[in-house]
Amino acid sequence: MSLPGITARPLVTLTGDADFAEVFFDEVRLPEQALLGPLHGGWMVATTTLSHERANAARLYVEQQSRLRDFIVDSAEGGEESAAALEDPIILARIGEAAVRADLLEILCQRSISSALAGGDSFRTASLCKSVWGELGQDIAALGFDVLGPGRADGRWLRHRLASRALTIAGGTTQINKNITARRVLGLTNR
Amino acid sequence: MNLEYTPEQIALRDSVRGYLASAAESTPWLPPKDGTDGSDTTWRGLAELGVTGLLVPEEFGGAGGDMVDAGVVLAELGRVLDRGPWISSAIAVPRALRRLGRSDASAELLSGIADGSTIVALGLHRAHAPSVTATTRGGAVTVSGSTAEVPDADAAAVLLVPARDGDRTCLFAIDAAAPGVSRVAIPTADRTRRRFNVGYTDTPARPLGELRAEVADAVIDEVLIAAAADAAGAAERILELTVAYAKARKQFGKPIGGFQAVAHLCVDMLETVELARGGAMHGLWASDAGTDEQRHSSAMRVKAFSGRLATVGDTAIQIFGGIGFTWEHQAHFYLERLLQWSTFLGRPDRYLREVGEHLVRTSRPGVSAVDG
Repeated sequence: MSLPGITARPLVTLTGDADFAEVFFDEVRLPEQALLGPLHGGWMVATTTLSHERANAARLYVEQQSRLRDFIVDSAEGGEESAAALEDPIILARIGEAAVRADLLEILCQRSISSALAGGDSFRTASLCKSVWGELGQDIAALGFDVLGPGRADGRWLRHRLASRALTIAGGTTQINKNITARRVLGLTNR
Repeated sequence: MNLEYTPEQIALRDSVRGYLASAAESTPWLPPKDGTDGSDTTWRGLAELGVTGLLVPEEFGGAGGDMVDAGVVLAELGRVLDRGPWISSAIAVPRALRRLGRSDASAELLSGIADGSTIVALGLHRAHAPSVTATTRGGAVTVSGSTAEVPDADAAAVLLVPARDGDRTCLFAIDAAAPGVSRVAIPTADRTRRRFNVGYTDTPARPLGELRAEVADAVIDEVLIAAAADAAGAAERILELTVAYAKARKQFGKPIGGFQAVAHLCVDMLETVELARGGAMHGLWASDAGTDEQRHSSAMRVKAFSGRLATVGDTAIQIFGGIGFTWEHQAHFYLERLLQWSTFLGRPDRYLREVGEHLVRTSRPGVSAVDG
């Protein structure tokens, strides 16, 4: 990245952080050994990298399960009002709803791994994991922000609330993902 | 947890599916040909396949199967909206009796269940604090009181009833034709399922043993899990029918499934169906091989998800459009089956709160998850 001709312009996101950047290449000269994989094999390198990212997604439920537990701990320790929310029937039902979906997501991810290992088609379950995970993450973040607001727990739940918008966008939006699932899993097409 | 069917389970699924496809009576939206609802004929067919005794131990003429095997059959019965008493007679009763210890009365019931000659129903409403009381006079036992919401009580030749017996709760077998038995049908959301308030007045009863609280808990969990597997089968089938319709039905010269608005609804249904199926699979596994805690959490989870599962029926009708709203089409039977599951043994929101309370209890600072 220190080579002459590379300019990186950080892109500030909703959370105020700059997690990615716009990168400009202006006549950058590279040594031959910088080539990844064979010449003109870039698509293969990119899709292989992506498939590892997606395989990693098979254990993403763990992150949501622990985030939900963090919410309960933060609420219990966040003062009288947030501790009282943990006895509110509406909040308890929302916690229950998120917990049920997180555990069902875990089973879905395991089924996806299991059918891949058994040589079956894991796409049916794998394609669903990402959408379920994204919407669940947004619901847990919203629950945390509703109860704890921007002021408690070091402002963590405001950051989660804002950052969670990315969950249904990054790695393919939920809507495009649904188009692919409709076509590949359910066989729904224009013809 | 093994997530793939064994070759034996695939063979079981295929033989049950093949039989049910050949039994026209198992399609409840068609008017019955013979004046009955057809469930007797289907029951005899299932008995001939050896399926009524799937969970009965081999020594009593059953197949000695486990809950994962039962799940294979449940999914098939759910797919065709079977009206028979399979969950009562082939699951609830054998799973309760195996936990009560051996007796001649129990052996006789199990043999009758296995060969399909005896249909037995079990009421679990308030099983922990029954309002039925047993009295022993000169060696003869009678029971009096009532049990609410007993499934399949009309089809049953024998009713099993939890009753207070001194300071214990015991399970009793009652001949459904015995004096003092009254059965009153109660409204249900689903015309393929029947439930009754059953009353007893000085009715002769045979004791089957003590129904300890943990036994009642386990059987209630397993009935919830079985009903969830049935509902997941029904939801899977209405999804298939809906997708087939979305491919065949054209508007503006294109199949409606080609429009994203419709395609995304189908994917929403698929997502809910697959989440529910996994929940049922886990419950069936936990009933056989999990701890009591795993089985109970699993049962709470599938029941808490039942409200969401019913949306599969709602969305199906939306996609079918006007025809789906009429009795000309079978879609509404699927919605009713799923709605019935959502009300069975309590509303889903009650279970959602229970799951939430459990997680709060076990996640508070200073509490280890194991203690909870």
